[in-house]
Amino acid sequence: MLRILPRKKISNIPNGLMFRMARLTALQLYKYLPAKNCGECGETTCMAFAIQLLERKKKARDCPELTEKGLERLIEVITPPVRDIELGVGENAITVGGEEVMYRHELRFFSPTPFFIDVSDLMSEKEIKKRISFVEKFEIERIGVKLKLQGISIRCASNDPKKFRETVQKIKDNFSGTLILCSFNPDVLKAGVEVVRDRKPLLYAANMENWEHVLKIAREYDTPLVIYSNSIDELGTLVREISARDFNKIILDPGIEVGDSGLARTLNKLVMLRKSALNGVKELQYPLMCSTTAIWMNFNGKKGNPGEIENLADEEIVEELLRERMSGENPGNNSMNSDTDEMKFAYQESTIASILLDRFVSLLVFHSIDVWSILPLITLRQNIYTDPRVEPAVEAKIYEIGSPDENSPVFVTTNFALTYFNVSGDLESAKISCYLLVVDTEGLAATVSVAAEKITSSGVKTALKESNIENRVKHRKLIIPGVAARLKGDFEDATGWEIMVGPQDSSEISNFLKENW
Amino acid sequence: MNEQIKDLKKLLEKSDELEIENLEIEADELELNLTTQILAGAIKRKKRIEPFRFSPPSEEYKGRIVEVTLGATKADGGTRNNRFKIGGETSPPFYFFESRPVNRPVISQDVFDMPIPLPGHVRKYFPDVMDDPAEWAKLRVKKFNAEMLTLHMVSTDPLVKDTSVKEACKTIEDVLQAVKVPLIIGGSGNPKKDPELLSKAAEVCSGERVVLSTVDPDMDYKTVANAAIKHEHSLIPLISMNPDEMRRFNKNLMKVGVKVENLIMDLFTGGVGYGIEYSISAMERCRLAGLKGDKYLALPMASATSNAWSAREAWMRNEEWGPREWRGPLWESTTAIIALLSGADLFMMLHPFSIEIMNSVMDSLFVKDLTEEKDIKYPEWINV
Repeated sequence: MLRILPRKKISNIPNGLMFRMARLTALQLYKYLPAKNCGECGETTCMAFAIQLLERKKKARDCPELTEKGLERLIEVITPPVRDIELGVGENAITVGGEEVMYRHELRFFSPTPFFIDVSDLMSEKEIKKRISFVEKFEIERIGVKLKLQGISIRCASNDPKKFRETVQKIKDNFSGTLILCSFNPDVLKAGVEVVRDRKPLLYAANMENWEHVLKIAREYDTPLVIYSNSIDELGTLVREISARDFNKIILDPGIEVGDSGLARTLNKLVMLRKSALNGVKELQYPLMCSTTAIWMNFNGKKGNPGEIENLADEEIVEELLRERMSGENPGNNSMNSDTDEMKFAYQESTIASILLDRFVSLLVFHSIDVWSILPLITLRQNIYTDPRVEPAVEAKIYEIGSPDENSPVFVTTNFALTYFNVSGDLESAKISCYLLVVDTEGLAATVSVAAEKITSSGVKTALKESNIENRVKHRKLIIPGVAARLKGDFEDATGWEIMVGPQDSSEISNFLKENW
Repeated sequence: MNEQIKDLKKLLEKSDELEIENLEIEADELELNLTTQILAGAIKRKKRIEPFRFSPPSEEYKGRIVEVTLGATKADGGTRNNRFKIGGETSPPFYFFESRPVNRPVISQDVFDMPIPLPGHVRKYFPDVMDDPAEWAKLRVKKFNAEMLTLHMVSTDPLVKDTSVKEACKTIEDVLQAVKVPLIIGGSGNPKKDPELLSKAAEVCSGERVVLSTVDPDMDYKTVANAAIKHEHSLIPLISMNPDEMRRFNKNLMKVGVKVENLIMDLFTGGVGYGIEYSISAMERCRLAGLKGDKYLALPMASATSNAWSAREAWMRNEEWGPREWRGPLWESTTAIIALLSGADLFMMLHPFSIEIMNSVMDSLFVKDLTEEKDIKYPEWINV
């Protein structure tokens, strides 16, 4: 459904801030290819292969004609300034990092931040099963894409290798996805990785004290490795040590801090790390990860004091929120206090995670399993990692929903992909047979296109004419989005059709038709 | 013995590591010292990896974002109890290693001149005041600590209630009397009615340094601009997600005579899931251009964050998505935070809880001292 359009008109401002040319061109890459056009890689020419390399659709290894040296040279050239690290195996394999820019308008962000749900070996079996099933069942469709969670992160809170091994085994038996194993104790990591070596889990984490032991395990089991330190100097030093031993499957965790200026320092560090990576500081050219589980450190199940954000809300407001919550919409069965506290922590975790997502964190371990706290994050992730060169638009034309006839209603909407999917989804689930006239609004949503005047009477007139809908329905009634109400007169004058103002949101269409059609 | 030491020395010079097995040392002090020296040399060679020393990737920007003053106190010839400065940045948002944030952004809380359709879980925060904008404004200030208010004159739209400009101005006067915080006066979005409304509002609010929101190239913006100049107010030019057109429009406004320190750009804030990525990129491009010295874009930015409420994820009842009482405000505060990180300086917001959250986030970002925390607890997340 999505169409690739040329990049939007190039700005004459600001100097050097136009969509920056990609770091490489296909022509540059072509020089590193055998120029045999053998077709073994699945592309007809080496030039086509070079383009696919740039788009990250093919890997250097897909070219069978390269010599070992040649392959090495090619990999060196295409390795992005924030390296791409692979976790997991088979269809669950995830690429982390592989980023090229500070700002998405400069090119694009490539690898959507995977979300791992936090599990501890001290959680009850019931809780662990609940979390596994949450990850497996989680699926929210937006713009025709199914948004999911990427895996489970298992931490050893007991610091007991045996206990950890059992938990990892249990999760392995019930969950087929990608895993992270977390402990600073090498014995624990080893106990865990032995059980799931075939999954290629991510090992968390090496630090200044344990790195030699943890590196040994990562090498033995051929898994990627996280380095943790809150100091950038230490991160760089550890990378020097570890990469000097020919190990490069590294992800960096600079930590998040709570406390007075903790958030400011965290933000500052994340920006400096990305900028340094792009500036060519090779010790820091690795993707970043964080665990927002840290937010829950002050949560004791009943009463808590959210560390970073104090007084999350006026007590009165919370009470009010709670009363409504209790009064029927979503009855909770926990005690009032602990429930509110848990909500506050989930809110805070989501808030901090949104900041991390915006500021270059390439992998996230998340504790809360409240859908409402994850929903804005995975939506934001989809937004941020969208290719700015692809307009989120569907083709502007007439769509048939159900089996419409000459008496069926005709709805007008915009060609913003999300609007289209929402409206057509609502019409389908309400079992309404109708025509949906999608007008070209340059891919802008209904509200925006009214504000920006991208939905105009002449646009609607053209769309009507091109759709030939005149010959398919007997009536002359057009239902426009509620948010475009103020354009009713204009549309009537331009088209000569009777304009009916539809509901503010398409979920109300069914009721609207009952009353008005 | 000397020979043996020489041999050992030679051997050590070539090797990186020294492993001594089953060693018993029976020697006098002198010999031991010598041996230690050699060993130290060998160990030094093994640890030839230097510790990494980080230097922050700071950059200088030749531009500086203009400062805009909101509201006028008695000393400035107005009647507001407070005034704010926004803008003034010298580096991208929260690049602390380049510069400290200058002015804390301001949150202006929404008030409407008529009862507007709001989801029940939002409406209940404003019981009994939605028919009376002055009372609504008071509630915002007293109960929700509003530092600034936006009075949206939505009823003036001919397609809504077609409230006359005269009547609308009466409402504005009432609100000016009822509360003493700085104000934004918002139009209805009707391109024919807004110029008349906003220029009369400028007259009514003369001396108060209000912000007139919004003007765009497709309306008679010159009339509004002239009224703003005459009565010394600020203007919000609105261009949806297009830096080039924003620049052009700002230039035109300046040509008419609007001073640069009276402009706050609005590039339109799409909510999370509803085009926020375009807002991010438009704002980031404008801010970077301003910092690089483009004077037509070196302006503070406004975000009408309440737009987030048009997302069905914010208001719709949906069992699968969890309680909307939490989901709704989270949708708005997340949108606000992303706008903040993209450079916004002035926020128009709706839900008291989202406003609270935004304020707490800003509290933790606008700090004087960034010294490293000594007791880092983060690694303990494993034991939570």
